Amino acid sequence: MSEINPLVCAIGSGPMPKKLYAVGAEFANPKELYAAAEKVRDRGFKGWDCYTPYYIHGLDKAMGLKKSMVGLFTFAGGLTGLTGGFLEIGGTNLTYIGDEE
Amino acid sequence: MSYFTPSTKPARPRFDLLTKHEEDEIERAQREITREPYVTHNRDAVWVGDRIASVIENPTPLWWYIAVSIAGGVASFTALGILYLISTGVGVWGENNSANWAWDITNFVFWIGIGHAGTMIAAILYLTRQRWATGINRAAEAMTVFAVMCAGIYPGVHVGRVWFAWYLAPIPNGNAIWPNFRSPLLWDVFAVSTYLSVSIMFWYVGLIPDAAAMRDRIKNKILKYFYAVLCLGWRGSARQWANYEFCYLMLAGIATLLVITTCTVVSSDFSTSVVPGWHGTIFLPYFGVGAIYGGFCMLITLLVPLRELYKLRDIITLRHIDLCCRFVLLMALLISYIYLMEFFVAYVGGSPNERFTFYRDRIFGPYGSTWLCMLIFNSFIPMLFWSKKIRRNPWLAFGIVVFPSIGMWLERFVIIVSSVHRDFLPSSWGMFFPTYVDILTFTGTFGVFFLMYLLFIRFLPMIAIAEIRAVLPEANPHAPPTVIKNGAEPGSHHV
Repeated sequence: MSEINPLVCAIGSGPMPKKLYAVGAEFANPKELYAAAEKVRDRGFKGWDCYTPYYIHGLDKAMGLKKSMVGLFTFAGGLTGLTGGFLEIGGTNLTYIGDEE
Repeated sequence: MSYFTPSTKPARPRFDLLTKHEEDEIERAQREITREPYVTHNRDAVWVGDRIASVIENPTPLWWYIAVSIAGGVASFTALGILYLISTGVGVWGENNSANWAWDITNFVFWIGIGHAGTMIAAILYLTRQRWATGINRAAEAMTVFAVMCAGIYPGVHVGRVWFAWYLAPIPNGNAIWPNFRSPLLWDVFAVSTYLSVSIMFWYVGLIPDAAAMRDRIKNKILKYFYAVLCLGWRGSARQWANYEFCYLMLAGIATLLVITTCTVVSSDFSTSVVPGWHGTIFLPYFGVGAIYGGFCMLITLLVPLRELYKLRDIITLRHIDLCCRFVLLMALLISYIYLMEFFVAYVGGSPNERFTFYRDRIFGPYGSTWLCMLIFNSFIPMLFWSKKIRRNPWLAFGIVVFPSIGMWLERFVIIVSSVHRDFLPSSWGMFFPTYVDILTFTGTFGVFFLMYLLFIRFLPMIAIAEIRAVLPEANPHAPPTVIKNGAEPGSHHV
């Protein structure tokens, strides 16, 4: 990869570029990645990430990530749907008010 | 015995203190409690990705073209049937004054039911942490989506004047009449459309990481763009995964509720009427059980040939077939209970009309043979699945589930037609016979279903690659050293 983009290089893949943009490391298995993530978290690094082809259980904790906000979005969506549904039923029925005579 | 190490040997008891018979018993018991691996033959993550992606990457096999032409030809029957129906009127179907609902609603309920097993596997088994379901959830969800699409054809065209079908939607129309929200037929519109949209969304969200994997590995330029758009720029970052897993959990929760609401709403069409044979509170669980029953039968019908044709026997293992067959067996027992309960309730209910419908007409009436076939196919033939040997024989299971598949269609026919063809007024009794348009339209829906399914297996990963990899023993970051396998060589960027 280093020959394509000199700003990014894998550790041990060649000489370090003059201006360092980012550091990447490749791990052979989830266990090593998990251990490394814990170390990076404990050193207090910011703005880093792990890339995996599948979900590794507990990696978010090993990275010290906060709980996902998706639950809040789901709740907001559910509330919107519920309100919309009731307004639809209520609103369409309200149009009949005054039709009794 | 760790959850993640099914292949390691369990700790041995003190054999010196035991008799030979006790030793054997303990060994047998330990073998039984050892969880079978999700992926057999100790395959690793690279093999899983290669094998599933090879279905798309390899040249299209000849059988696929033949199957697509047959399915496409059969699908045209539906198109022709509907064209004739719309241009002429619902009189081209066999409906008449006594049986004014027949094959249209039978087929609608039949296809909706098949859809339910997909959501059951993907959502309910996900929530209950049945991780074996990862092997078949994608295929099952695709089945759901296509079956619900087939079901959607019928309410769309059976309203008679289809150009007024938009009256079902709460849109202001010329007469200032809004849909009646107290009618279960309107609930149908909302339940089925919500079910379709949520099952497509659930299926699609599951596809995102696999679409990214396909984008990274496929050689074909056009397909690369297709997957790149499909995967929404997925990078596989742990931050993305954390949100993704939460999102999947939320969707699974919503889909679980929808399985229950959709089948209860479909059953409410019947149970809120006063027609003997329909007017029963048992219809709500009845339709749910029947739906999951028919769906699992269809799933076995799809999975057995696919695992053989694409050599996926290590991913869709015998255990998967076994567990699906156990579901079929469980549903067969539940549905048999409901059959008995219907007769019992007709007895204690004391309504002479209901007793007539069940005791005379359903068993000895003109549709009695349909009822008898239904009983044999749904309640007796699946009892073969008590035998483990039969459950673990995929082609035998494939042959057996043909019967409950037909039986479930017959059940809907029995419920719908045999309940209405003899109503409260004997002078208006009549018979329903399907016309060739009925038959063509229904046969065609199988073509529509299989055509969509064939396109799906050709262009999308039919098994969730990322999910299968995540249940491999080596995916556990706390796995013991014995199961750890290093991935592809560093630097090869194998996805």
